[in-house]
This record gives sequence, C-alpha cells and structure tokens, in this order.
Amino acid sequence: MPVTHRGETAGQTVASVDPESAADDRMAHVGHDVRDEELDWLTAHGDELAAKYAGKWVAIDGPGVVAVADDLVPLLEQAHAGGRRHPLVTQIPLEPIGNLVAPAP
Amino acid sequence: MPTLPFRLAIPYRRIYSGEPLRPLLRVRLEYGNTSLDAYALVDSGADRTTFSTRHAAALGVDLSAASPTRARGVGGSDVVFPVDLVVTAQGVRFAAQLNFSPQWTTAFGLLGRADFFRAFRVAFDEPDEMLYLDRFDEPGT
Repeated sequence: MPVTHRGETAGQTVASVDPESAADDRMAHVGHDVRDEELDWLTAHGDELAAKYAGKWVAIDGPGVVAVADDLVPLLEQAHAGGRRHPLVTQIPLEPIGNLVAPAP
Repeated sequence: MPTLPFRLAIPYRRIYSGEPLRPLLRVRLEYGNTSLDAYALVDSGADRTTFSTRHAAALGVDLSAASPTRARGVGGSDVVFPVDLVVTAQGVRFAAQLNFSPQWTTAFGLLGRADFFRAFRVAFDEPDEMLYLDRFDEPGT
C-alpha cells in the first residue's frame, strides 16, 4: 500500500482555487500564467545560472535567487529561514538535457 | 467530431540553451503541512506523476513506510515509491499518487496521466509549441 495521509482519489480536485493564484480569473486570461514570475525569471536567466551554479540547487523568489545549496533539504531550510515560504526550487543541470528519454520509471 | 474548449494557452519553455522547448509548468507538492514548489514536464507518456526521491525527502515523506513497486521505462524497470499527496498546478489542487524515483534524478518532475491528465483536459500543439489546458471538471463552454 502507498503511504496515505488523505483519502482522495488520484486526479480528484480537492479544492477549486489556490488562494494565492486566483485560478478562475486566470482561466479567463489565456496565456497569463499563475505565479509564474519565478519560472519566467528562470527561463530568462537559465544560462546565467548554469554558468554560475551548475550542479547546485537554487531557490528563486520573485526576480532572483534567494538561496543556493548542495541539496534540496538545506536549500529549503535556508529559504524558509529567510522568510521565503514558497520559492521555486530546482537543481541547475551540469549540462543541458537536450534529448530527454525517460529512464525507468 | 467533438470540439473541446481550452481556456489556457501556455507557450512551451526553454530554460537552458541546448534544450528543446518543452511544456513545463510550475507545481506545488503538498504532503501534510509541508510543501515545495518545483516545475514539471507535462508528459503524456508517464502513467503517474513522478519526482525524485530528493523531493520526497524535502517533503518529509518517510519512504520506508511506502510499499515500493516497479515501474518500467525506456531504460528498463526500477523501483519507485508511490505516495499520496496533493499537487497544485495552474491554481487547481488535486490528489495524486506520485511515484518517487531514485532513478529520476532530474530536478523537474513528470506530470502523468493518472492524476494531472484527469484534473485537466490537455492538448499539445507541437508545431506551434503551445500547451492547451482546461480544468476537466469545468469545461470552458
């Protein structure tokens, strides 16, 4: 059995709207994303981050990096200690993933 | 032939030079009172949403309490740890049984058919590199 802490069925919507995102409003504005500021910033600055932080985990909150660490757990500890509750986290790859073929799974 | 409405049109993204444009979304993973925000690839080839076991550790998931199962991919099969949690994508929260994989070490996850594709109606427009989404329970008529 999987670890279970909620009883929902997979795919079932458990709440209609993320309070931070006003999704229903967003649905009416095609092309405008929900809390995508950080993903937009990462997209615009990915190559700069690759040159500076290859292999590191980074936390992005607003337009910029707010924490850097060697692994995800200490990264989140740093970000939370700095009052950043929901940064976008990712590991900067050592090299571009030019041809993604999923291994198992 | 039915005509399906889509209220979200999201351009594919290229984050690093040398990578192709991909259908990527920001997602929030919640487990109990812990959450983290990452991004993920909308992947119609993935049966279930998959993230690395590093994400599980950061969420405080005790994988020793999960029953490992095997999942098959291009590279063969390997052990994954299925865990129930909650995912938010595009403002919609839905329950999902994620596979946490020690083999999937990529920092982004894969949004799979058993959960994401049941919460959203999904269409890919590869020639125009656009992802179209609509909440499955509220078609945009």
